[in-house]
Amino acid sequence: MDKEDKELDEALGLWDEVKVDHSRLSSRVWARVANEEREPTTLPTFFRLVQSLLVRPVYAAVFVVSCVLGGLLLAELRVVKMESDRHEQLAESYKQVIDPLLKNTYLGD
Amino acid sequence: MEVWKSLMVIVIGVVAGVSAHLGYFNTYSAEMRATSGLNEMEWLRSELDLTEEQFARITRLHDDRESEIRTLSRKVRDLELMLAELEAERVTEGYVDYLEIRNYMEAKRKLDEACSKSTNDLIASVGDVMDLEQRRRYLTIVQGSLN
Repeated sequence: MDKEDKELDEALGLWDEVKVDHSRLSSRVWARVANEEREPTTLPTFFRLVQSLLVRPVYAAVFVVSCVLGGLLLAELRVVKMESDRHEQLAESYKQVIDPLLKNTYLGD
Repeated sequence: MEVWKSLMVIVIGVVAGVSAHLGYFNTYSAEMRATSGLNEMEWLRSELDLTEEQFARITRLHDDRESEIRTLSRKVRDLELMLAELEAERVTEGYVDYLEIRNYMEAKRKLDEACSKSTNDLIASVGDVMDLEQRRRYLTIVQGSLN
């Protein structure tokens, strides 16, 4: 038994004499300790999985190709949206040309 | 070492994805910018695949109606101003000229009818120049203006 163990025993001995008026204190303390121990290991497990996949050439290639396809898909969606907006704008503009009741028809005066 | 390898793969993936996105988007948006100067008539030609002859006839129909549409829209604006004046008078002086309001309502009704007739006539005459499929697409475009 080294010096630190001796000090810990003394501290625990003192703890026995402390009267705590809380029935579930012990269970709460142990629950928090268990939670502290669990959280730090969750993320590294995920990262370890990602890391172990990405170091394999096949999965690395799949990841890069997925990124490229995702980028192209997003770009296509943006282009379609732009085209649709432009189409609507020109249709609206044409309607203003032929319909005097629509506002802004007279702005061209 | 393996950490750096996987980080490198992630960086390469993100850079490749962003480059593909920007390359594709810039190419197509540049094409769209090149055609953004189209006016309504040129847009209609491309949208409905009009032939040169159809386009010329439709442009002429619009040109013939232009002064009438401008006159009508000027009258619409004048009536809107008249209504605004009546409303201002009601708010500031607490006075409501019912005869003026009746005149406004009557003028508005007649003007709305004239505008609707003008628009419907133009749409009908433009539609006559088109074939069945073009007319169907044209009517879809101008749907909101048909009365």
